[in-house]
Amino acid sequence: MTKVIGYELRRMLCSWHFLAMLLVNGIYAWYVLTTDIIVGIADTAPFSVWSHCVYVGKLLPIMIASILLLQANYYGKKQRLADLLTAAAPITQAQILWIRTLVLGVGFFILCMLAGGLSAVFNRSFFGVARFATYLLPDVLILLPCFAVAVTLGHLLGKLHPALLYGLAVAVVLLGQIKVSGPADFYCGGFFASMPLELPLANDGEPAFFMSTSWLLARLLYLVAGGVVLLCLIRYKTKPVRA
Amino acid sequence: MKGIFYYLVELRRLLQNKTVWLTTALCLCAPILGYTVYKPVATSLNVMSGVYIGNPVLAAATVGAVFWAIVTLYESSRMHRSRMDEITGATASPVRLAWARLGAMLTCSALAGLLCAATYLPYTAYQLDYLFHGAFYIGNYLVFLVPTWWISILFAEGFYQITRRVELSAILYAMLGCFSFSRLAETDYFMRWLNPYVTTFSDGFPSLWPLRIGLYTRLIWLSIALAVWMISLVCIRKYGRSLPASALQGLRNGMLPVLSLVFALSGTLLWYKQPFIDHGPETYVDNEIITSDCELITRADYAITVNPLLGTASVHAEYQMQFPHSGESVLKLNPGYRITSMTYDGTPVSFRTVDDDCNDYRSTYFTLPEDLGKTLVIEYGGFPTIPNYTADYMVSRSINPDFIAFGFHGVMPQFQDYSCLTSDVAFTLPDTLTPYLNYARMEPVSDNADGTRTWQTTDVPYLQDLTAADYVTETISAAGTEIDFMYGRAYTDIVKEQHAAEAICDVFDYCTVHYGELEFVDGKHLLLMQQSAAIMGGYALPGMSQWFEAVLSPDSLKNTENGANANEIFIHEMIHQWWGAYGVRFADDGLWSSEGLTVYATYRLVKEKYGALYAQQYYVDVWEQAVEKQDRSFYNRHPDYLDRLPDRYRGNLIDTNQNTNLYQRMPLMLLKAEQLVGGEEQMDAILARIYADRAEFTYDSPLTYEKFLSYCGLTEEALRLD
Repeated sequence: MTKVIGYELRRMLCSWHFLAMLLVNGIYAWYVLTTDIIVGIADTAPFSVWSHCVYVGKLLPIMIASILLLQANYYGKKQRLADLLTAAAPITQAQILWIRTLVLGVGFFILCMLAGGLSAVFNRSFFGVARFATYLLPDVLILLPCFAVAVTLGHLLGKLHPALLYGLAVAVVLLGQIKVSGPADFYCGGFFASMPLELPLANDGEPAFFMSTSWLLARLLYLVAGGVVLLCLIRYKTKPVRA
Repeated sequence: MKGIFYYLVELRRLLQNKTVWLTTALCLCAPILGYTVYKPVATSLNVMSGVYIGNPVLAAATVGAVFWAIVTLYESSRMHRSRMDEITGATASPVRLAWARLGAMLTCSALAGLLCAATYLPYTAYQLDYLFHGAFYIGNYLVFLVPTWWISILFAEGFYQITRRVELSAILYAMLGCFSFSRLAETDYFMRWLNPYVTTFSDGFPSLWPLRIGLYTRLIWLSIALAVWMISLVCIRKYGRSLPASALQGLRNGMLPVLSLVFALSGTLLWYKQPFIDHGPETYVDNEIITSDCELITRADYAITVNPLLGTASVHAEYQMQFPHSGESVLKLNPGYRITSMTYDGTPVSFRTVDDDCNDYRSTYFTLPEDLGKTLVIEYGGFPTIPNYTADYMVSRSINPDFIAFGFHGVMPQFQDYSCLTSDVAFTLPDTLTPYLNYARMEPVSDNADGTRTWQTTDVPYLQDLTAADYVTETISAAGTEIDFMYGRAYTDIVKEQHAAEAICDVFDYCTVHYGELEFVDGKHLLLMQQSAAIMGGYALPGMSQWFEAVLSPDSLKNTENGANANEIFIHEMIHQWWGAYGVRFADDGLWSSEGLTVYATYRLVKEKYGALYAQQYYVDVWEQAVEKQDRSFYNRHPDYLDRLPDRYRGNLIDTNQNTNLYQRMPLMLLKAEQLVGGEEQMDAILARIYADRAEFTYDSPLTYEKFLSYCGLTEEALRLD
């Protein structure tokens, strides 16, 4: 099992695809930081938690699309042929699904670390500010549900037809262009850009960061939805494929 | 011949292809997006050709380009998927087939573009009514739409031939497309290959400038796309080999890499040497040319001719020098012009031009021999550039068959070591146009055989603005003032139908009753000059107010609910004759200026004309929102962080702050003053008193904020907004 995980990790992380995705995400992250975030979101500081959440929200469509494109490799023609061989191994389909989700999670985590690292460099070099701990909880709450929903949906669509994964990748990017400001905002960028404008100002002239119950509930629902889809997929096909 | 045969076969195949017809149908629907969701041309001021030509064409250009890229990828991959390329490759050269396939696809897209233009022609002509120009309409499709589709097809086909993977080609195309839509390219004419950048059009004074720069940028990107496509021909897979092996094989055909390099270099060179915008800084640099301790030019003669089709001007300038300046002198000229000769009493003078573009000028250094009383002759000409710091929102300078605007500094040089006493200007231009120098009509001198007419103005003390158009001038009398009301000939009927003269009289009556009579000496008339929409907004000078052309566009006349619109800009500029231009001279400290009081006076007039509710919604509420936003802004609360920002962002924030201070904060403070002094009547009485004392406010002693407060009997603290 560990060997398979190691093999799958090496296969993804050492691929040209993943390196290209890292490059694209890095360029886009720096672009967002130096064009949108630098002016401050909703009149808050560019290094405020509000601005950071909007930054993450703006990056998410590209990050999710990158992960979906990597996920498409698991459902391509070549992989289907390889599946005939892996099916002979003493490992269930559910375990394969878990492993693939885990590997994609590691890839997503690396993309997040890249985005976080660039944000830290940006805040340090432009404003002399270093604050990571305050970003951590909102980051997890924004990123994890998005990953859960997108990847499980990706598994579902990939099983139906590999081309649907490309369609989903386009759809998640387009979804990022739709302006949503409510707590149900999937990427949260619109929500965190509009919320500070409705809150009272604190002593420093900015509204204190605050996560509303409705927003927390929405994130939880997304996470649960992703988990349920994954469990359904596991229950749907647990038997090994026979050649 | 074989190539043409393959092209015809491929074209026939595509014309029978359902996917191509579906794409054409989608492209025909694309202009609708320009009427509804995608409106890149500034439409807030109701410029009709922007609304009904610019936006639909640009929307169709962008969306259609993506459709054509998809169909190109689909068609290219279909050949590969069905293994047809192996069969066709055995009978004909793959490179020749690629040429035929590309030619056929480009032809199909061009036909779809023309079909699109023909489909929307009747609707556009109906909407634009008396402002419709058929050639301008077709020109937009030919300049923006068809070439953008071609560029898109070239990139898509090029990427596919290199990668042989649809998804990778799509990602590469999407990345290139995102670059065009990115903030980096937001106000850049040259970077936006997929969504061409147009600031605005003009209805009554058609300017070819947007089409010229549009065509130029399309040429740049066509060159770059052709370079990519040419290099992709090198990568065509041969004998089932991999990309590197096939590319090595392809490189043996030396012509393709060379052609690719030539196109890439052409694109780069065209980009770098673009003649439209100078290479100066993005913000205005406050380094006024100091002309103290300078020698005298007793007289200057300028003979200006223009080529309206090419948009170029050439000037023959003669200067009578009293004493030549000892040492090297500097002459500042628009960067678009090139000095072809400089002679001093017939003897050539050596000069050198330095690429130091700044504030619409480029420096030329020259040294004159130390002889007395000689004539300096300078010949120069070219395509005048517009300054970089205004390029993203206005086209202040363009030479066209129906409209010529040189703007400030657009044609005459400025000397650093000489001052000129008086100038004579002769201007030769198409005989349908009437030129105005410093807002005064030039006198006709001669009709020339080539359809041009020469006009002249003598003894001009300074040279400021030179504009020519097919103007109609109507003299009207309002509140005892003689007004020359000038408008483009296209508006003749609508001016009469809409009783524009009466509307002007209303404004003059209001201001005369509330503030006092305008004072005109020497029988001078007040000039109300219609201005092209390409020169955003309007402005006023002593004895002259400009008015925005869209005031009389069909859409403006239909729209009765749009607040703070073009009509109100017109009112604003007229009120400047009382506050700031010909009337009271104001100090300007970044907050207090003539703008604040003029905006406040416009609000009062609008309140009287359209009601308190309207004035509250479109004026007071807008001011309050802007001021609140300014106060909340992080960089205004922490100005120390402003210095850490890159110049571009700092400049934008400073400009935004300045605009808010002038046009929103100060009017709001004046509204507060109105409440504190006891109401509108009391405020009007104070303003009338200030206007009556206007003689006291001279250039050296203008009306300051402190003086205004003393008129009101208020303190700075009292007017501060909390």
